[in-house]
Amino acid sequence: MNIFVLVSNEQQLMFCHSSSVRAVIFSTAFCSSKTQHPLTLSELAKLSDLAGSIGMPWYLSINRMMLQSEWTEFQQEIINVNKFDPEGYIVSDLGVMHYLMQIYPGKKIILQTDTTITNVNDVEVLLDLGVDYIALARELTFTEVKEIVEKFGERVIISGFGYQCMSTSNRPLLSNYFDHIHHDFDGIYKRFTLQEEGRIERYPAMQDTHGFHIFTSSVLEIFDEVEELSSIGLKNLMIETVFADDETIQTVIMTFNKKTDIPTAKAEISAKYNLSKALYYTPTSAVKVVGE
Amino acid sequence: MKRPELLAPAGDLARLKTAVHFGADAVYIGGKKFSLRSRASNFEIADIEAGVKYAHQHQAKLYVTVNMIPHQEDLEGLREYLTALDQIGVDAVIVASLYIARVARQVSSRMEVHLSTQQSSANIETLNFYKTLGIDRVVLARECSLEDIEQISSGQSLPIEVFIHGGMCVNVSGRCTLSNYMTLRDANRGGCAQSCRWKYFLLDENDQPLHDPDTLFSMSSKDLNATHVLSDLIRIGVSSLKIEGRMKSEYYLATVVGAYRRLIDDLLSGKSESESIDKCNIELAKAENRETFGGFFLNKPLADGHLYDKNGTGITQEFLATVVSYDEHSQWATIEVRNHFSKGWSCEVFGPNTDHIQFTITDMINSDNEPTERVFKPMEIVKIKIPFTVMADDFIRKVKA
Repeated sequence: MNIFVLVSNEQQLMFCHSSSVRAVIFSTAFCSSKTQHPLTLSELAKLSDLAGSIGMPWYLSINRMMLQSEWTEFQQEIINVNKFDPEGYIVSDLGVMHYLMQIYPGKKIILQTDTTITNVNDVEVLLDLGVDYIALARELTFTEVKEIVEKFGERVIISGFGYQCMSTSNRPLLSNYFDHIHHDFDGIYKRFTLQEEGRIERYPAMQDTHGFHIFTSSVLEIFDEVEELSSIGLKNLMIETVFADDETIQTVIMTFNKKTDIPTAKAEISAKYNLSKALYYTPTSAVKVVGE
Repeated sequence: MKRPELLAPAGDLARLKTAVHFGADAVYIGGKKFSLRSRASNFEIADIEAGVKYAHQHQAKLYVTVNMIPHQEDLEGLREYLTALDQIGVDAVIVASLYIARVARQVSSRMEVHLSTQQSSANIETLNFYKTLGIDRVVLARECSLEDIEQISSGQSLPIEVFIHGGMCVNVSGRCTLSNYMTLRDANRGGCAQSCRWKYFLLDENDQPLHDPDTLFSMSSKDLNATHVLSDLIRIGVSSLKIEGRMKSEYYLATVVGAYRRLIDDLLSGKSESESIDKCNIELAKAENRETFGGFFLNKPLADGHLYDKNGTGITQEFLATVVSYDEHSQWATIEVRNHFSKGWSCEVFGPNTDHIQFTITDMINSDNEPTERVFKPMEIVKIKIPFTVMADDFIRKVKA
């Protein structure tokens, strides 16, 4: 299985190297969102240099909408980043995709899950347009994932583990709230928790320089399902690292690489995190079913 | 300056007619399939055809939203549906899925394909990309500032459409699954439960409360109001100015469409901008059910862009009836009742050509042709005395103290 995983320091990178991870993902504060540890360009230079020396391909995460007024800065950042020779870019803005395909036609393009690709036909259209890999939408059921994997298993990526981002706002919602209640706010990149007043679930959330993001209350794991997906052609898995500790991520990678058995991994991880199958077995619908 | 299109929503044929009557240049509606806003009373094909005919008879255009993010099971019948829309003369479809865009382009070279705001388009390169796919127009992300819009427009890639009024998603459109996870309703297929408007406890890394117990955390956004930048949007060359709200009432539509129609016309005819905006906002306030703010046009929304303590403002005026006909000689207006009212109430008539004139109800005759003090049956046809000329399809509302 080709595993893609975000890393932010040398130790994580070296572990990925020793664990046959397919490629690592780097982030920067300007290009990336939903990460607690974006790199400065000098940190990126060092890590990419190390990645190059050990033969580890890497991608830059550009997982946010790029406003036109940010475009000049974006172009400059990409020129700088591209000097470090990434294998490709993970994008969620189709304008960014279009631009990168033109200026760096040799670089691979992965569409990030925020592009919300939910069916075989949309996958086919985007692959026709030159996209290399597509990370499928979060809201798919296991049955729907299988349907797409059967057709394009080598070209799609599915999330195998981690907190799933449920929403992204371009507004600084935490700062705004604290302003409203006259509290000081010092919380960029920190983990907060939201709990709807009538529910027991607690949702991790964070604010970065681009906005505010809310994540699922439990951690997705599909250790058992991957076996079946692999048998019908799935080749690529993404591991989401936000709010997860290094030890857990290492266990996850080893489990997908069959170096750790699934019951042991689940026991270890569930001692720290609530595990779930996200929406794999709970289909969502277009309309409210109850009471109608 | 180029005259932009005023684009209004409609949830059914009656509201479509209201929107056109009050000055919309184009109306967008949803079909029963492939559309978001599943709770809006969406149109069957026959209704859409009637809507097209009505719109075209009144020199307006009709667009149909085909803007869900489809799962595999949703795609059945897509090509036939788009072909039917083309054959009945729909002017454009508004799509979010690139596959749907491709099929729409394949089935018709006449019917335009507009890219929905669900795709959160925010830069020139995105428009350049869509241009290569044969897209005719792009609805920009609500997160775009005036500066973004001006730069995008100057790129002259594709015509752009901008939201100017109505409800705001607090999250980036098409990238929110709060509703999916919290209620199993798929926001990207029209089932949004608006979980962003709920109240939340806010805890720190150690699970200690950070919220104010009297004002819990909420993401609930105020509604958009673009009157303050409308002249800029016209100057920039935005092709279409869009009002949100396919689920809104005919009264809301009449008020909001009418107000923006007048404002656009006033600005284009060189009337005082500040006076025209003030007049428009006084009118808009009569139908608002949430407070409004300026969106992202001038800056990223701050705390005053949210509704932390309340969710509605209370509408200052109430819709009572529509005018069916008027007898100049007797001054009796025949009207169709919407909400109850009584003799002695202060009212206001407004319409595309009737300028917000107030009067007091002095005489009423019910549907049995008998004098009455009060009417209360919705859709009853009654008569009231109005001491000035009113037009068919004008609206009557109560003036609250």
